[in-house]
Amino acid sequence: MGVEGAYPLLIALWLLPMASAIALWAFGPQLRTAAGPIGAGIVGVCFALALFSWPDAVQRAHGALGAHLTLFSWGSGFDFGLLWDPLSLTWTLIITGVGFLIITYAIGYMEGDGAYARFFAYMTFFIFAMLTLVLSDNFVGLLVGWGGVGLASFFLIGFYIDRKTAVAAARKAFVINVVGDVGLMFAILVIVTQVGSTTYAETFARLGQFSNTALVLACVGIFIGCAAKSAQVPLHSWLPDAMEGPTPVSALIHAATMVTAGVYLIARCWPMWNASPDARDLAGSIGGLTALMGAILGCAQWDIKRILAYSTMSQIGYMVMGVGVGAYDAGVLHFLTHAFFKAQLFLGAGLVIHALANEQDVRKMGGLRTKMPFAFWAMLVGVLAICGIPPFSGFFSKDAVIYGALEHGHPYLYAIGVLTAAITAYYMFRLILVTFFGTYRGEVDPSDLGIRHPELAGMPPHAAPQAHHSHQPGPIMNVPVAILMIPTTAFGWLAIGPDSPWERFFGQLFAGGTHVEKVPASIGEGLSTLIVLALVLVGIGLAYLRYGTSAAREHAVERLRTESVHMPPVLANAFYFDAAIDALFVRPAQALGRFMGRVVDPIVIDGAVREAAIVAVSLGNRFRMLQGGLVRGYALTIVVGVICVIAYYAVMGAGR
Amino acid sequence: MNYAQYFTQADGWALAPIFMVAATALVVLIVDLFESGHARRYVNIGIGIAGLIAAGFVEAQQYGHPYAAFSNAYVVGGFSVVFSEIVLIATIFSLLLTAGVGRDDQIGGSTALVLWSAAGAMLMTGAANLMTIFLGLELLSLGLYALCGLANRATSHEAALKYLILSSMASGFMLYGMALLFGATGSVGLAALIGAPLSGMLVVGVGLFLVGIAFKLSLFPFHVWTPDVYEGAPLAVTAFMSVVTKAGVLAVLARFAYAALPQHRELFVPLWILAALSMIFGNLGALAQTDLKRLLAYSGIAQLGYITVALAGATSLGLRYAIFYLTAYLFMNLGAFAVIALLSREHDEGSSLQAFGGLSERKPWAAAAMAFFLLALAGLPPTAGFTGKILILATTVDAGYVWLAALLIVGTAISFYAYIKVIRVMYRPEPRPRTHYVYAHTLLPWVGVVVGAIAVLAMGLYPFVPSDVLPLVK
Amino acid sequence: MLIPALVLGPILLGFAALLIPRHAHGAAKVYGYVIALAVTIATIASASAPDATVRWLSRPFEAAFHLGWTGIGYWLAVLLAIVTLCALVAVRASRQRDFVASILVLEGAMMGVFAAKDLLLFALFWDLMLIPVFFILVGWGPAVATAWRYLLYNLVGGLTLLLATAAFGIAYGSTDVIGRTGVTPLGDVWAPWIFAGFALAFLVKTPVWPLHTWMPATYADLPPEVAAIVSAVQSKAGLYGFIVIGIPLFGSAMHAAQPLMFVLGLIALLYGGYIALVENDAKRVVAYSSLSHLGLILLAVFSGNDLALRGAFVYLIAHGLFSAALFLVLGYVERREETRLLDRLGGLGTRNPRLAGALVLPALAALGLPGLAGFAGEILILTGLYRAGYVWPAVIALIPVVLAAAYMLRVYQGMMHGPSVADLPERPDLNWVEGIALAPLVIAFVLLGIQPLPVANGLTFVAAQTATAQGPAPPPSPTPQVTWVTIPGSMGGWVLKQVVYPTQAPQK
Repeated sequence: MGVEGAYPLLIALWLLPMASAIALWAFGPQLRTAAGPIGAGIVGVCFALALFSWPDAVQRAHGALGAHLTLFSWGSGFDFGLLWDPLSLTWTLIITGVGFLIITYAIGYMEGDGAYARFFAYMTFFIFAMLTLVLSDNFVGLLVGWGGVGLASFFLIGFYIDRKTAVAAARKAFVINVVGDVGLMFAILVIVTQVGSTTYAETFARLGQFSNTALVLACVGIFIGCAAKSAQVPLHSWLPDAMEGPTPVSALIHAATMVTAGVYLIARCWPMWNASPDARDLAGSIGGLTALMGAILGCAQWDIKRILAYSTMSQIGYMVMGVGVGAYDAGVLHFLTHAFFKAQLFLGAGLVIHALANEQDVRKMGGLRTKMPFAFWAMLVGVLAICGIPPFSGFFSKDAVIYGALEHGHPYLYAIGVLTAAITAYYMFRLILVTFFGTYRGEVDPSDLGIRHPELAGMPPHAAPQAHHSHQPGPIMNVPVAILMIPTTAFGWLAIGPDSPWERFFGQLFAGGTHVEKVPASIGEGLSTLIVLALVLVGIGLAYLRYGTSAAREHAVERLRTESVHMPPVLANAFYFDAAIDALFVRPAQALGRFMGRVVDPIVIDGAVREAAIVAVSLGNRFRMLQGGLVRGYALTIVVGVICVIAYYAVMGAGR
Repeated sequence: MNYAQYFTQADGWALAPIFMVAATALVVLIVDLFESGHARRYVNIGIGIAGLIAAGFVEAQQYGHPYAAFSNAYVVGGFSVVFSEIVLIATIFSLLLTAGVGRDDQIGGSTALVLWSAAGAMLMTGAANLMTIFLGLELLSLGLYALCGLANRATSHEAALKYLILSSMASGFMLYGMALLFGATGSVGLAALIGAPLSGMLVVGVGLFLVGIAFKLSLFPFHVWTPDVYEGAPLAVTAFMSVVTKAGVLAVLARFAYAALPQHRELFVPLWILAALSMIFGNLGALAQTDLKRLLAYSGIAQLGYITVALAGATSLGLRYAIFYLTAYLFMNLGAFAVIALLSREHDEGSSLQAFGGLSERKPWAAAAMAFFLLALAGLPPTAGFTGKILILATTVDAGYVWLAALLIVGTAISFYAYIKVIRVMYRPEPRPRTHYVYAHTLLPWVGVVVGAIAVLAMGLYPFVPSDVLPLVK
Repeated sequence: MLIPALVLGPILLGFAALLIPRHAHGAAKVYGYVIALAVTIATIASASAPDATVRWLSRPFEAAFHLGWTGIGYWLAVLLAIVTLCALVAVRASRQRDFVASILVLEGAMMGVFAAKDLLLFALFWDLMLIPVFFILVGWGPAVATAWRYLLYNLVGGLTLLLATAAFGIAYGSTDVIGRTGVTPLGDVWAPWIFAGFALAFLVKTPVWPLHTWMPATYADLPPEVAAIVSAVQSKAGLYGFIVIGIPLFGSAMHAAQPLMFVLGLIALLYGGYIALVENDAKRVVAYSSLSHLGLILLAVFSGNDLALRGAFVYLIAHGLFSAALFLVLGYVERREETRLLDRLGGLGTRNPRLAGALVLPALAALGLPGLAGFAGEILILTGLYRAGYVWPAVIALIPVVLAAAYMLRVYQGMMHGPSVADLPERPDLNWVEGIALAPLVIAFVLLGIQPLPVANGLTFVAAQTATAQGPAPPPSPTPQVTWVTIPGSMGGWVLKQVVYPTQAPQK
């Protein structure tokens, strides 16, 4: 294991979570409630380590791919090592920092759960896998982390293993993610074959060796991976189901970190994207499509977590669009701000769900602003941020992404971005108004609210014991949310101005090499910002008219019922993606398997063999019957035999 | 007129082993008069085995000293010694089996007959002219006719009768063939055949002669008598026939093919075809059997097919491997018979497949031994059967008869089912364990089992073949 | 003399076990795993043990009792020893003495297969290793028919192997050729036919579609411990044969057979995967999954590409490890719940979390989770295939990866997740003996997944033979400028390696 230089911090930062995961899994029963603090503490330590190493790497990162640590090699181009540059640092800080807050929150949220210790084991394992993903200096190592986070999310989505829906959702998420892994594997095949190495450095250094098709193939393979992991159309359908997991999981894995891995990968492979316009078009348009579709579907949901899930999908669409079109730093910036405000939204939602005995249907909420003001303010800040209202963080990043699309010559994507911003504002305020304003509807009969299957909504009581009584969450849950408010509000300020700290820190990373040429935008940045803001206000206005007016608040029950009853099926079924996948892939595969297993194997193949055996035995029996036991029969046989033999000799002798 | 030139001392020495065996038979008969009760059984067998061992010792002295006695009527030396030793060992084995089977007062007679038949077989191994061949063959057969009918049960007598009729029929063909050969060459000596012009008479004579050989080797389709006779005859006699007869006849065939007509390989093609058919049909027949003796009869048909195939190339290696496999067959086959003898009692030979049900629980070692011998017959490692098969395969491929090798493989594949069926029966846990009679006279058969097993294993690991085995006619 | 001891020791001691009193189950078990432990240690230690040769035949061809390691043979022997040890630790069967005895004999025979350096000896052990399995199937399996099918299929293969060996001996003059360099290849008249003989035996043993139908029934009916051994090690004998006999001795014939083998391998890949998706018997799912996995190795072996071959070595061992672990765990489950039908099982994970953990790890390795051994083998093989220019086979071979995820999770979740089934008996969680039986396998495939290099380098002499189809060698790189910067700082400071790379535009 050749190590260049001493690198204890990085190693510790990388391996600590794994160690704690093993420990928590093995000794969970003994640790009991200590498990939570231990897990959170470890992640906190990792965050500290990351922070501690921040300045050095920032200084040294200019113009270089960054500090590098060789671990070991499989030979034939499969070399493994760690990479320490602004990109991996950014993600590391989010993973450990936000992770620390969310896991701390979970200490309260998961309190009294049957598998308390195992939950934190999985969480820390996820942190480890995610760090592997972002710290690895090569594609195979990245794939290892890639699979690891998929596994962690499998465990955590299916955390309530006795719930059928949770189990199904977990399997769906994992299998779809494996599709992504396969895409990534294919990309690796191409890259290793072209370059003879799997490290980023070698690959980007030798882009010249790629034939054009090879480059496109590699990019497409990579993008399939990104699409599966980051819930891009058409591989997105697992994300809403993933909300079966506990809320902290949704916050950490399915909002803040894992689902943004695709954004990380594209940003990481930016030289390849630079080199391949086709890849840029693909990623950009898929991202835009996802953003729009997620936003539209977000308007049609009633489950508070599913609303947030679709908004996540939509926001990631923004990021992918950004990095896809070439506005890498904008995309990454949006990842940062999104990590903050989406985590905040989920945790806020978690507060509500926790307080309402695991009720997740917004129709049964309402008027919570007075009941739980803290949750309300937390959610509101988050909503303002996601809607891109200045001065909240979301404003800066989203604006940069949308304008970046125009800058890099994608007017249609720009239009989509603007439209999506408006829709986002609509459904987020819909969420706020329905949940926190009006009167509490918890006691209303579900059918009056148009809830078809009340038994499917929310969590079964036994899943979370604290669910029996509704109670205000303690500080252990409130404090992290409060802390998150700061960056949610203020982080964007780092990116103000041409020579902002963000620009200084991050701009250089993508300065090397050829940059994607910008086209002169038809409208200035300021004007575009105004347009976006205007449309956002329109969206908010619509939401207010539908749900916010006093009339709407009085007749909330009837309106909600009519809306849910008359929900267009195409929206209710999320554009039929699940049905399509089921009909196109799942059922045919099962049918094929059944045909092979029940027809080909036993009847065709075995049939042939069995026939042969039967023939042999029956021949034996015939042969035995020939053995009549009568001497004259035998004599006859012999004579016949003699005749045959002699015939041969007679013919032969006749020739003489 | 001075007969001394026709019977020198050397001629006497050449015949000495045969005389000893025959004389032993007389001794047995005489001693048998004075013995009574259970002891006579062992005394007779003891004397017989002693005589055979002595004969074997004397026979061994002749190895490497080829000598044509009685003006080329009887040639001793390496070849005949090897076959005679095989005959003697097989005879000892079958005497060991007689310990179990048959009535006390019959042992004397049967032992004597067995010894005389053995003498006949030994005569065949050295026979170098047609008369000697026929003499040995008849001497061998006459004893067997009587022996087959020895057990007092209907099948036994029936077997004797069938054997008598069919065998004499075959002898008739053979004799006719000999007559034609004599007519063609004007001499009864096999030596006269060397370089003789292939007249039609000669060719047809060879054909009829080979028919007789094929009958005695019970090759398809001349095997028809075998299953019934093997089933009917007493166990020991079946064991004796299954090896000794074959050894004697194979010796004749080898001498005929290698020494007398070495340059006319096409003359023997029908024989190879018959051998190939035997490999297939012998094993097919074995599939359906429910009596161990019948099963071994069919397996014998197939095994003799393998051995004959080894001769197909008429190469010296082929002959050596035929001898190797014959020896292996001796131990595998007689070992299996010895196990059957373990399960037999005076009037009930434990050869029916049911008798083997769940044997592994009643008599684990007997079952293990039987399994071992059957696997050896099937040609599984590490046994003589495996090594012998691979050697025969090799020499057959070497001689260019690839199709024979392929058929051998097919036959073996079929045979697995037949043999392993028995093993399965033995190792199937028995629903209701049958009360198994404990039988007194199992000591001698056990000797056979142990010796056979050791020999099969040893030959499997190290295939030793004597070097000087080429037959002579002069 | 160490290697012959490894081969003969287990066989003789196995028979010696029959001297233990019939009902002393404990004694038999201890006897078993003491011996297995000794064999394991000795095998691992025998890496550089010298060959042992005793002259056997001189006519009609040269043959010798020649025992020694070929690189991959050594690793397979280590695998065999470890798996046997684990199986014997986990063993629980009626008539335990006879069971242990048969397992030991089986170990010795298979040891012989991997150690034999003479074709005739190879054929000898090849047939020998079938017999204990047959007896176990008859004695401990539910259906004797399965035993028949197993034996007849494999014996027919063994016979063609025998014929081919004899023919090779005649054609070449000696069978003492395994692992020997500089063997002059046979003429084109003989080689194809002889190779066909070998190939049939190997294909039946692996097994490869359509010769596989003996396999699911056999694995399902074998006691789990033996199923582990057979699926983990015995099924590798065929591919091992292709590697050490096919590639060095029949290079041209292998090349000629490549299209056919690719087709068979790809069919096996998909066929096994799709059936595993719907099988209800967990053991049969694993059986069909190994049909699929071994198909991939077949592709690698016939690709003639060095990298793919190295991947094949890794995957051979990896598959052995995780399939053995899978069968053992399925045995634990069946031992507890008296069934292994997925539609009957469910919800065990809530009661027995440790059992669930024991099942999930090998399942993940089997579905090729990156970081575990299965993935290491897969990625190396696929890269090799792609590099050698077999793009479409590589692409098709990616499909089963998704299938594997689906069916492995189906097994895991079907047993461990979901609402707990009412009429399943309540059973204790994984006990420590069962855990110990699994530990070596799990540790092994984790380590192998991190660093497969020792196994990947397993075979030196074949690498020389696979000069064909290496694909384009990666062109030399424009060396990036590397500058070293030492930063004074905490904990001894860092040395940063700065890699400044010139980016180039892709050639149009």
